[in-house]
Amino acid sequence: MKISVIIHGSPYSSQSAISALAFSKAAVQSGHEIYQAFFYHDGVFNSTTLSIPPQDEKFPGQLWAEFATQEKIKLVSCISSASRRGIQNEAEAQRHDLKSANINTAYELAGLGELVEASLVSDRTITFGA
Amino acid sequence: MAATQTKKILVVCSQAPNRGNLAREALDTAFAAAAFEQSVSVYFSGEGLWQLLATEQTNLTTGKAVNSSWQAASLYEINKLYVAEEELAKRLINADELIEGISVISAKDVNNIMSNQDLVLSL
Repeated sequence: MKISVIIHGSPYSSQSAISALAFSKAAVQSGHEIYQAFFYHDGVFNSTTLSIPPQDEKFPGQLWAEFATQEKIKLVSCISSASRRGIQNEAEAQRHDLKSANINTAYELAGLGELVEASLVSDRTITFGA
Repeated sequence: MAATQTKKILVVCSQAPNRGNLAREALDTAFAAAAFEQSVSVYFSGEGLWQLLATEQTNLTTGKAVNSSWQAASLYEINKLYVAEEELAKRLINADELIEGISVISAKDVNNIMSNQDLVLSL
């Protein structure tokens, strides 16, 4: 089965990203495909590259980046949610004359159209709420 | 993105209008799906009903109330905005206190509507 997941939760205020990751790993192990993980609302905070947790911890967004790279899963951070919350890629940083970009490059910054497209091609779309 | 097919999508709004930015982002989701030529309806559940009060004038997070945007939903070809009469009654809200264009249905109909969708997006 082809599955997409939506993550609404901020990495340290919600279980959303970690639950979605555990689900996605289990799905892949069971022979399903994760087509896309769409980070929306406070979920976009998972896509920052500037988080440095203590050495014995891992940042949920980084765990997602590693899993997605390994399994070739598309990670999308919603551009309107991200822009409001200070997550920018190179193009946006240049466009708004910011000092730097801060998105983890494993994530793509794109619009809600990506979510619509993913849900059209997926057999299931599952939301992990904030 | 070229929409190759149409799905029936129900956006479920269950957050009060002043609980962070979720109400606005639920609205963005519904309008985006409609813009991509999907068949979109919206169901306001629980505290999400407060998003539809006609008297709401501001939002504590962004300053912009969502009620007037929801009122424009039909212009964006969003099919229906549903609320359940039982949920209104629980909150002592009269249907005439809501913005225009809301379909008041019974809780029983909500089940039918949900089971009739290809996709339910809950925010």
